[in-house]
Amino acid sequence: MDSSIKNLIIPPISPAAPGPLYQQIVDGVKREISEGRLAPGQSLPSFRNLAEDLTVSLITVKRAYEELEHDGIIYRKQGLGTFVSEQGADRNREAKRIQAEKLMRQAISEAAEAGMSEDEILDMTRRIIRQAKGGSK
Amino acid sequence: MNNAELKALKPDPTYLYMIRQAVHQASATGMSECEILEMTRRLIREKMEEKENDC
Repeated sequence: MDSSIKNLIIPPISPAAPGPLYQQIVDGVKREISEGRLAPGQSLPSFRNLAEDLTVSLITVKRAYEELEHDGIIYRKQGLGTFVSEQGADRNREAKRIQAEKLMRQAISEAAEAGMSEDEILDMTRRIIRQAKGGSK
Repeated sequence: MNNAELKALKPDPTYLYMIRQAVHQASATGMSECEILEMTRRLIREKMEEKENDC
């Protein structure tokens, strides 16, 4: 029985894409976790399955899993498989939150330099949130 | 050329893209509308304080 994610949505791995192949897998798994498609405790595909799916070598997948394990994003249980750690999901969420804050800080600087007031920036942010959530304009 | 057509030709300012990205990232972490707005208020306050300290 294999309860691991069958359709892990990692974009096709490409030697032409920026970064080494294993890093593309690391980033893909992190993205799956931060966007909630991989939950803490959920198992990941075996080295072999993922290597076959992505048409990369076993060594590439092994390197990616080692990196994720080293960062505490996933953990291995002897004989059972590889799982997403609770801490990994939290850490990834925190990294996204920090990134969001950094972007927002830059945006506020640019908007202020363009002459926008505090209220205008807030109104614009509110509008964008509502648009993103598919609510009213 | 009407207003909508003119507007379509004008690119959005960079800060608008940045806010969209920031909102997207923040939403992906599960932050609510109130939390994102609170973060924005706090960052604006920090920016204002920074400006005052520069004077």
